[in-house]
Amino acid sequence: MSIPTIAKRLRKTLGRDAVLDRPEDLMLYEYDGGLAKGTPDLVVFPQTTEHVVEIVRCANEFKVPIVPRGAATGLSGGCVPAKGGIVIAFAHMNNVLEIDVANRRAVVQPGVVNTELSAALAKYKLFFAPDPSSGRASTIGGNVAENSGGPHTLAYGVTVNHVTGLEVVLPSGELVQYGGKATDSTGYDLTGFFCGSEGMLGIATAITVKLMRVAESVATLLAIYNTVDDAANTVTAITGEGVTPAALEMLDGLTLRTVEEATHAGYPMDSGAVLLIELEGLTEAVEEQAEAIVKVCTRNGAREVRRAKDEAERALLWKGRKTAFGAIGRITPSYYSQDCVVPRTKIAEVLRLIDGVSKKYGHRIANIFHAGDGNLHPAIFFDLRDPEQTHRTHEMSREILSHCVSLGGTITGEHGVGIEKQELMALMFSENDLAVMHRLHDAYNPDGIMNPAKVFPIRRGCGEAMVSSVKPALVEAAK
Amino acid sequence: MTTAAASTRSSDLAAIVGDQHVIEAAANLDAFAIDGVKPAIAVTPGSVDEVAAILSYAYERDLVVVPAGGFVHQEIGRKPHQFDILLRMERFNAIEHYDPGDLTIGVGAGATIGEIEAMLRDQGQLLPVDIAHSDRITIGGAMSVAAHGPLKHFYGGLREYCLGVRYVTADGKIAKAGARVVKNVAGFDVMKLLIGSYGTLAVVTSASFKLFPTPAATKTFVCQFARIEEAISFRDSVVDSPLTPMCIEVFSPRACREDSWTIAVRAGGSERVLARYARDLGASVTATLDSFDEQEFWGKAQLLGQESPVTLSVSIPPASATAVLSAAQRAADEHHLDFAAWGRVAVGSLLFAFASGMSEDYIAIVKVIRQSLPPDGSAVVTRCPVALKNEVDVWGTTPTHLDSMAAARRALSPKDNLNRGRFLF
Repeated sequence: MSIPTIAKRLRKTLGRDAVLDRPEDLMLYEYDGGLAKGTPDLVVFPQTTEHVVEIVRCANEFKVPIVPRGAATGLSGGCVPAKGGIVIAFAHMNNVLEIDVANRRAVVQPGVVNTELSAALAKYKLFFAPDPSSGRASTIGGNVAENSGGPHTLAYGVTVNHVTGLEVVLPSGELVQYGGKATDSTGYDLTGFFCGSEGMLGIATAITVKLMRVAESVATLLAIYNTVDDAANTVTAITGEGVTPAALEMLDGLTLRTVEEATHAGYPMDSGAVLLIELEGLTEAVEEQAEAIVKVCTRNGAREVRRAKDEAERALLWKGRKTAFGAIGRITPSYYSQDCVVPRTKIAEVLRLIDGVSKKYGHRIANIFHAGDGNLHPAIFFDLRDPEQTHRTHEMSREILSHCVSLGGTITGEHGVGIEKQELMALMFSENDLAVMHRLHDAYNPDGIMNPAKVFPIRRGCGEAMVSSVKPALVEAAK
Repeated sequence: MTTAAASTRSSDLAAIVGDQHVIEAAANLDAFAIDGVKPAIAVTPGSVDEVAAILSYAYERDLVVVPAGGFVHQEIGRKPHQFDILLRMERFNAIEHYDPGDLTIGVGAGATIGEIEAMLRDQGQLLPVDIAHSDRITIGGAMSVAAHGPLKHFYGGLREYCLGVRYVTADGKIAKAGARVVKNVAGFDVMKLLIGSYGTLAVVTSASFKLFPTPAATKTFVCQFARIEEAISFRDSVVDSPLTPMCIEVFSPRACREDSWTIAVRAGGSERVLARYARDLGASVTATLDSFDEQEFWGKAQLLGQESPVTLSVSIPPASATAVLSAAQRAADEHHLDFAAWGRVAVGSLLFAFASGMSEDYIAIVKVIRQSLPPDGSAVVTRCPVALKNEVDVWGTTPTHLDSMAAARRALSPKDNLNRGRFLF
């Protein structure tokens, strides 16, 4: 039996406390923030890159699965050990290794928490731009694996746009370098390719990220609408105006009322939808854009446009947005939050389709999402204890995602495929598309020991059975 | 190759693309020579299926295929030893979708940057690939070499705004990756591999991109400095300021003004915003350009180095700019070479051009520049006399693990028959 041998060997290298193998300890590592469940055989806590190399070599020798894990805030099962094996938890590799102000770069270990990096950078007036809503817990290693987004990715781009170099432990245990502090390097852009590969190509043990200067001025506006259509039309009208907000979020009426009861952020209880719009940049530019935004919103039927007067008001408006999913949890036994993207010109259309699905199945759906990117997060209300409802939730979810794909969109904008959507990949990709991706997978991970049974469809039979095998769960936070 | 074999090959390929899309007369292939090596045959497919059929055919017979767009950057890379089929992508010039409200576009790989720009201009939108010869450079070619111009400073490179791609692997598998929406994490980001792969992995047939609104107005603030250190310290002051210019471009003395280092800061926005730039940049500004003058300035900048026999593309962490630029300048002076340097100085993407030297001067200067680089810097010789390609490693070193690059190529081009022998490894 290889597991006890591995445990013994790793205890010797990593220390006694750095290896967990008692069932009661392992149970804590069965889940992430979302769906499926899988029990690891071991959980190990490396403190150095050398430890990671040793763990991977060991796993490779015995061909045991390895699953890297940051803070497990992911919603698609990315760090769930689908095939058991060794979970590598990066809680103790959480050092900012270098802040290079002159080059605007930081080098961090994978376990550094997203917002802690920006906190460490504040004194230099710098920040790390990717801002998933899970940022207070989620790690940069996890952000790299999932290519995380967030509200402000509208203006600044997703994680891959902010990573220039990676130190990687390959599935063979070999330690290699991709890129560095330079924006580009000669040869293939493996840094870019690695980001978003959901832990299947290797483990990043040091990550070089770009840093941005904190903007001089910020304006946060709340535009209030009687109808969802007016709010959706405003999104494309803003584009037409040539304004790129730093963030452009939409909350529908159901979400608003729920959030307001929980946070008292000052959201109107009787409106159909609001847009939360943030502008950042030079004071002059922000003021002009704010004026333009007010006009566009009003022209598109906003009954009122408020502007946060100070940092406290701004924080309150964002608190409502960032804790919205928590608030939804107060009014439904369970909910299943989706993550799909449509062209921004199709937002009104897809919201009507979602409303149709809601009525057809008789389940309420709350919409709260990154409207500026066309990235929707419809949350379907249901009761997990009722198998009938659970089944319907899957049906609804699949119907919504199919609609999005048919409108030119995607099945995931920022949560990843993981286990949750592996069978839905066929909605977007042909067998050939997936076969070629699989060839790439095999070139790096020939034995499939790195995060196995993720992303690619596992052909289990008819589509119906495949989708139903995944159980949705209460989702605490959405990105 | 026997005449009979050549004739079979040409009829086989003609059966795929049609007689009128095959060129095999030697005289007609002169224009497609790379480093003096002519293709045995040139084919111009009109559909993805035809591309796949050609690639399958070549793969089975181990023929070397060179995909081509506008033939602008083909001089980059090692000299080809085998050049069986030139695959011309110019018929893939359709605009597949353009959704101005979504700020996205999907285009065939053979569409030129100029064609795309012309269409976007009417809508006040921008694909920020601002390079010379935009009337000839195709989107597929631009992706292949990761082309960029001064706008890379603000908008990033193609890797930042390419959303999806349709491609054919070297063994003829038709595939796609990404999507046409601005945010997507489903499946591997094959776009990143293909951008900058110099046509060694697969043939791109179409791609989709995120677009940007064109600013209301722009102005370029030209600032001159006697010494490189002063220029770079000015760059730092701009980067540390709240200003968010579209371009921060450096020009060496020969590149712009005769006797000084120049930093050109281009800003976009309303009059009020541009006035703020003028105020903050202050006394360092020696000339402010707008409208025609500004266009002329950047048009000239795009043409820098076009006539030079030796050019380099250098990528460094921005803080190394002074060291690398001054090393190049010193070495150029020592070897009495004409020297110009320019580029995205805050990003660390610099370009060098040399002229009036002998081979040994060029070899020496490439060596000096490479020695001045930090460990993760790169310096690619993007143009040099063919003879020099035997003596200078045109690609130089890379911080990225070569075996990991080879793994990507094994997956997409298992026999390495796309641009064989011309790339880094």
